[in-house]
Amino acid sequence: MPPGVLLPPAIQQFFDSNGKPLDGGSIAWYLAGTSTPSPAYADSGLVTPLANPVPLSNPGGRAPAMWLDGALAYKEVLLDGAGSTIWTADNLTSGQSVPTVTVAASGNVFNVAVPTAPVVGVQFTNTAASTSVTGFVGGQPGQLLVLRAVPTAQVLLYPNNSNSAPGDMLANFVGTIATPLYGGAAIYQRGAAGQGWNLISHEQGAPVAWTPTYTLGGATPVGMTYGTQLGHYVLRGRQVFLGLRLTLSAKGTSTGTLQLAGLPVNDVAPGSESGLIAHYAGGWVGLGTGGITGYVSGLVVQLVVWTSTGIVPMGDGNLTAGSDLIATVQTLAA
Amino acid sequence: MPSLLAPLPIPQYFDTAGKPLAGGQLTALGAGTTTPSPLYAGAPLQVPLEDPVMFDAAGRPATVTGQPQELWIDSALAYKFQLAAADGTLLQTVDNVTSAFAVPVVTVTTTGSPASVPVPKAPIVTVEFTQAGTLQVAGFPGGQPGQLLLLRSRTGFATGLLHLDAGTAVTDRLTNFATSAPTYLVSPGVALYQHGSAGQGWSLISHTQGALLPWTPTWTFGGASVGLTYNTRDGQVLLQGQYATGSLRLQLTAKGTSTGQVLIQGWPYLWQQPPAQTVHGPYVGYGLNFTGLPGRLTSSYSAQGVSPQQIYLWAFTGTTPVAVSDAFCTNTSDLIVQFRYPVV
Repeated sequence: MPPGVLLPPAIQQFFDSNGKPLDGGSIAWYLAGTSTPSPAYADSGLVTPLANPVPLSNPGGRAPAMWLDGALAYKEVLLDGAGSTIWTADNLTSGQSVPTVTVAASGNVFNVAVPTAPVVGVQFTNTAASTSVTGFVGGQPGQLLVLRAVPTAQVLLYPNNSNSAPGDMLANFVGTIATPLYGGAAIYQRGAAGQGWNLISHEQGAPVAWTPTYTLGGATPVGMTYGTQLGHYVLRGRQVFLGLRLTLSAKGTSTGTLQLAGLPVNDVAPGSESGLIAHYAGGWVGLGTGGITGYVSGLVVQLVVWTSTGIVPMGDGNLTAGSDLIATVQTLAA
Repeated sequence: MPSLLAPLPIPQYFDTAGKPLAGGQLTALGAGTTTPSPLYAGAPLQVPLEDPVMFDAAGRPATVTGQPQELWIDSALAYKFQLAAADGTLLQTVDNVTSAFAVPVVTVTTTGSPASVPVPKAPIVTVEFTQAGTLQVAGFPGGQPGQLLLLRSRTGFATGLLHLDAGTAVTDRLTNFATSAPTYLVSPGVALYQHGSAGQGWSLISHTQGALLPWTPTWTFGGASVGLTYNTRDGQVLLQGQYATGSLRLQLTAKGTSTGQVLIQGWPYLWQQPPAQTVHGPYVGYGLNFTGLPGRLTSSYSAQGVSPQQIYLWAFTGTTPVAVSDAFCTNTSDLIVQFRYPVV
């Protein structure tokens, strides 16, 4: 059963100071706080505007059904038959609007103030650089916050960050990296008093760049240079999908096992659920025909080749100055 | 805390002379009908009131024991109210009365393209698609800033949501995550849009496509496929945010006479790869009835902007991949490829 609500004042009758029906009276409608007329309507579809002021019945002082735009705030003025004001009520809203806050600033915005309402929209319109947010100030328990980043806007939503009070912090699906909106959207809900905002839904939008690198023997390879060094990732819930291309222009002089490093997020279960698939590999040696795969260990991927007996770790001996790799990695973020 | 005007829990009604409408009555009907739709005595809506509700000597709704009676309505319904005097004379009728808590539902049963679906003004509106055929929606006129639009598909026929359709008013248009092709809903698919401020249209907030959607992959040799025929030609795609995930199977019955590297074309959505070949390569999960392959099959995407966009088929040799051409294919070559790529 949906919730019950008190009968709306659909039938309204007005009286003068002596308690007699306000025969010949009228009601004038304006935008809140202004003298700009803004009509009431004869129908709930807001198709037919009523005369403004709206004449009351004579006799009876009854108003016709007056429908207002739920997105607007109004000033209502009751007039007597001579056009004199009996009373004025300002800032009347229906509670049917969804206020929207626009954030145009980039950089460390940290806390964004939001009004109190059942649903509030926050629109990010920054274009020059990424905007970092750690919390939303205001709101009420249970309030929904709909975040939207225009297609060019980059927003990073940092969880559990000390730049915000505990009651304003963000609880994201992933606690170790910022949840990005790159033209994407998200929905948060405020918890009970003293709690912050809980992530309900998230669409990242465009992929976020990261910089893949190789290590040899666990260290940055001496003299290794890259012709192409590109990576992008997308966060969905706690899953992270990464793509990369690394093309060497010089392999350098270091030795040791070969790892892929620079992953933007730590794997929650190293080696057990996360791996690398190579889609293209050129300019390698000593691989046989098994091809390159890998498994994730923390913030690195151990690259391996398949042989007839199982996997063998790759190393500097597999590299050439033209080694080229296109691969994807899927991890479960800590 | 949110603010609101104090409600009027117990109304009082008067006649045209200003005297309390003693013995008057209020009838509640379904909006636009003559069907009784009861009022209730309290918020739980457990006790329907007698119809019509009778007034006491002061013109107030009253219980049978003469106590003032609160009047509650079902927030999900729309009503028509009729105010009458004690002798039954009708004094006033007000139709289509709803509460601020109602979530209006618009049902779409028509097909075609492009469609415009008007929606009422309310904080949240639901649109249900039940049409018996495909539909392309170009816009939703009538919304208000901040309004949420919850779309639900209850049909197996696809509903395409067009991105920034040029033939639609700016304030009614849709901004999707994917821009190069429509965003689709198929039962049980859902989407949530929010209307922007004045002068803006609807922005996609969340989208779950529902069922997989078919697409038609094309096997070519160097871009041509003269005489090539299929036993199986199947593609499925699922759009999630800005990512397309899916698979294809192409099983030949004749490879024809075209020559060159195997290039698979016909892809749904343009992929973004800034610059070429960096993001999320396709994965060859199955390959059968090839001949003379020097290694296992792999594949890679064409660079962004290559038209038509396509994937290349390679054989992994341990050093440099070898292009898989017509020479490695037979009349029964069979290929399954899985893919996931960010879309434009």
